Amino acid sequence: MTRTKKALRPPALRMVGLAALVALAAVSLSACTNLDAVRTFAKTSAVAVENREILADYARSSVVLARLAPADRSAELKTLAKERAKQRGRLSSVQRVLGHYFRTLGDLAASSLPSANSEIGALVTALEGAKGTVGASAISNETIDAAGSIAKVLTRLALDGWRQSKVAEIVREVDPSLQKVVAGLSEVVQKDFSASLDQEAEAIRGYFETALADAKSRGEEEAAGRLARYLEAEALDGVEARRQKLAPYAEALGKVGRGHADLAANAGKLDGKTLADQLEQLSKELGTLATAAGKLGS
Amino acid sequence: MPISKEQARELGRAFLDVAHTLGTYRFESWNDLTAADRKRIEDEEWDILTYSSSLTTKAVGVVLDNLKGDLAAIAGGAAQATKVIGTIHDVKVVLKIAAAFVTLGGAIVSGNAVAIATAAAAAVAATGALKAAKGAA
Repeated sequence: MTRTKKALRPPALRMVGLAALVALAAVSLSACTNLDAVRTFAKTSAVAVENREILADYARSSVVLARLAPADRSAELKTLAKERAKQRGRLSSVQRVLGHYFRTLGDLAASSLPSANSEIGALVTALEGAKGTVGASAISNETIDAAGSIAKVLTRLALDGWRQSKVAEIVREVDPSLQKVVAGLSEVVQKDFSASLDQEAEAIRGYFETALADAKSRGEEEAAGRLARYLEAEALDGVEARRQKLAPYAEALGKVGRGHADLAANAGKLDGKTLADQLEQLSKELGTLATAAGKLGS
Repeated sequence: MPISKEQARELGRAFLDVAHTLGTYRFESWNDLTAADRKRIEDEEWDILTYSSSLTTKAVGVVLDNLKGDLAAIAGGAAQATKVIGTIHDVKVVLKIAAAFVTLGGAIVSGNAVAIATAAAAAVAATGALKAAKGAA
């Protein structure tokens, strides 16, 4: 019945209708969400949060203390070193969970993900093949083309809209926990890792200053004393170099948290220009911090 | 009563300061102290420094314990995102299946036995891809 009505419609009118549909499809397609800024931010964040070197430095401090302590004082420090080794594993898990989350979020926001162009192309080709088998007059070339274009846009819009709604939903749900974890990790780095280095520096000072004072009292300041002073300075430089890595990492965590909070606050409009600009800026800054951290580590 | 992270940090800092002060006293008074006194003070410095280090470790442990629930929530978010990605891929497979069955329909209508066999095999393969994708998810 419907086919009969369509067949009776003047060809010119049918062509105009199809052209309008194709034009509408093209306009709709241009409105598809571009989550590139979200993807870049998520991928950069995944790299920024995973810094194993800082964790190794934290675990190492108690090993250094145990090594410098008098033999009858090192047992408890060795136990502490084991405890820190376990904590290093737990902290590494925290970084891995954050990294995995951001990598997956980046995958979900990847612009190539919802494109079903090749699959729809195959559907159109199959339709064309079917046209040949049921007779050329049943389905016109224009209808095939229009059907293909519309299917392409509708599928893409549906997938794209659904994908954006899912990204928004996940970001909103995860944000409160993510803020706590990022803040907790940052707090540990700034306060506890820093305190750990203070303790290590004090242990180094105590160890070498003892040697220095002893050398002085024996009148060996020019020989053993010089050596002790040199080795102390070297060891303290090492502690300082490790301390230098803490601030950029804590800063990176702060930016990751801020970017995710922006995402959650703008979850309804993830492809908005203001959000995209903010995320691009944060991604650049995270990249700079990662480079700086790499240079400090080398 | 369990110690809070703030208390652990505050006490850890205070112990470190005491260890530092004792060390300074020991070095400045080196020649006025007996070897036994120096040894006793040094041992106390190390004990106090160990407490300080232990308190820092405690503070980190408290933070890690507090983050357990939030970490599970983030891991849940990642799992949800992975599932969504899997669903998107499923949609792509469904489109492939649709194309394969349209081809099969055309072949059946045409009555071409070779085309029917080829199209049927393609349709079965496309369906198998969906099953495999679901099985992997």
